[in-house]
Amino acid sequence: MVNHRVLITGATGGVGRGIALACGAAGWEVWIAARREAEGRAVAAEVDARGGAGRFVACDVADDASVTAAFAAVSSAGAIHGVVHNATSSYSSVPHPATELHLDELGHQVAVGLRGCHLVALAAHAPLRATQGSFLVLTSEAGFEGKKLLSTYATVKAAQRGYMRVLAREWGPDGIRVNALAPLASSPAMDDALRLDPEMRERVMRRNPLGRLGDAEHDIGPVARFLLGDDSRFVTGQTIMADGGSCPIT
Amino acid sequence: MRLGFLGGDSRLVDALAAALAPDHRVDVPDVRSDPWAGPTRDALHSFRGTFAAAGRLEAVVLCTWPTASLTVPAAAIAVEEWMKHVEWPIACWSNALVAAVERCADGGSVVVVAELPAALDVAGHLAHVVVAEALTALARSLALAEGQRGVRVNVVSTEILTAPEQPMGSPPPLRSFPGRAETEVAGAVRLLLDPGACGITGTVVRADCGRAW
Repeated sequence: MVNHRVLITGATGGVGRGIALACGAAGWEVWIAARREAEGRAVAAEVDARGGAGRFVACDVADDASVTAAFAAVSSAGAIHGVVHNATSSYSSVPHPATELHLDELGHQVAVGLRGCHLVALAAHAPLRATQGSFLVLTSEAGFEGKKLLSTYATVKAAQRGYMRVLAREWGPDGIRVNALAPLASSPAMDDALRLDPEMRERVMRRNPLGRLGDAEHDIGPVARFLLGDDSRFVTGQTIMADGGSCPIT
Repeated sequence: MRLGFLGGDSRLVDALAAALAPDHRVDVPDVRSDPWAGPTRDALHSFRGTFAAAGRLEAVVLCTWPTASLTVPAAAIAVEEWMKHVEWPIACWSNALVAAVERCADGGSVVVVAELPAALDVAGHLAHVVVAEALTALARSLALAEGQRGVRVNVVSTEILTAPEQPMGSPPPLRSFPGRAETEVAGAVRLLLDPGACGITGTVVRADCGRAW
């Protein structure tokens, strides 16, 4: 008997994987919704190993039909209690000066990060209303502060926070909670960003009072699990920073 | 101070432009088809190149008030409408904002005007909120990037298009809520353009009569 079923987009690695494993450790059924099947099934197996039930469903979040089909597949297994939009564009960690706006890159980041958020939300609305469930968007401190070299990423992450704020007000009467989580964690995307911008590590670590990057499974995952579970049943419309105190906005 | 003004085509935008009396006003291309393909993409590239290459301006105001609003719950926005009212404006205005900053002279100032209702009033206004938040973050990114040459980039947020007839909760502090383009909004823009604001960058001034804070 499944007591909690969640769907997480883009959970084949990094923070999404960490959230999936943390949810698995609580015995939840966790659906890895992603394009890459082999990687997705591997994470699902890791969820199993944590004591949960890992599942994979193919999903391209920028494609309406794909998202609809993914939710139909998961719903056929039973009620959905939580949905996480974590998928992000492969361009998100590629640095360039803010004045070098690349329309193609902007288009891809908007399609995955923002349109994906909307399509996933549209598909999640009815299932989450039925369970009084929780919708969670993975954003970033970049969405508060802007980024000199990752301006498009910052643009999309800020837009996601705005999206979350609207959805929280509109879905509250349906009993659905909507929150955002801004992590600072070691991940393939973060590793890429640090590699491509060697000064970034110094900038990131110097301002972080806890002096380290978070661990996706053990530092970020439990916060996401809290926001997806009943312990946060009176929390909505919030952006929770799980960043070791890095972002100076309180 | 040579002031440039970028905006769309609406009476409200006209009112703000008239109040600010710019030396140079340019209409931003109205994006009515996919900006990532075909002629619209070319038009955006062309606009940015042409605008940025013209003579330097000490100040540029970018008014992003849309000519058409989408006022429906998020769950009722199909993907086609989403693209028209969220994705395309983000592409259009991001392109224009970067052009504005490129054209701004060293030590100059760029002010973005964006419709961003207070948190209590966001329901039904997804497109406004998402676009405004996106542009605010881009403005902050550009402020970080261009600060070394003394260029300041700030945002004036407004609630002119989205103000509820009956605000929930406490009434806005000022009875003039939501304010007018030619007075409250123009005044906030002038404040940020003034040389006295030389230490202000990357911030948002809420010209909404105290509705948000």
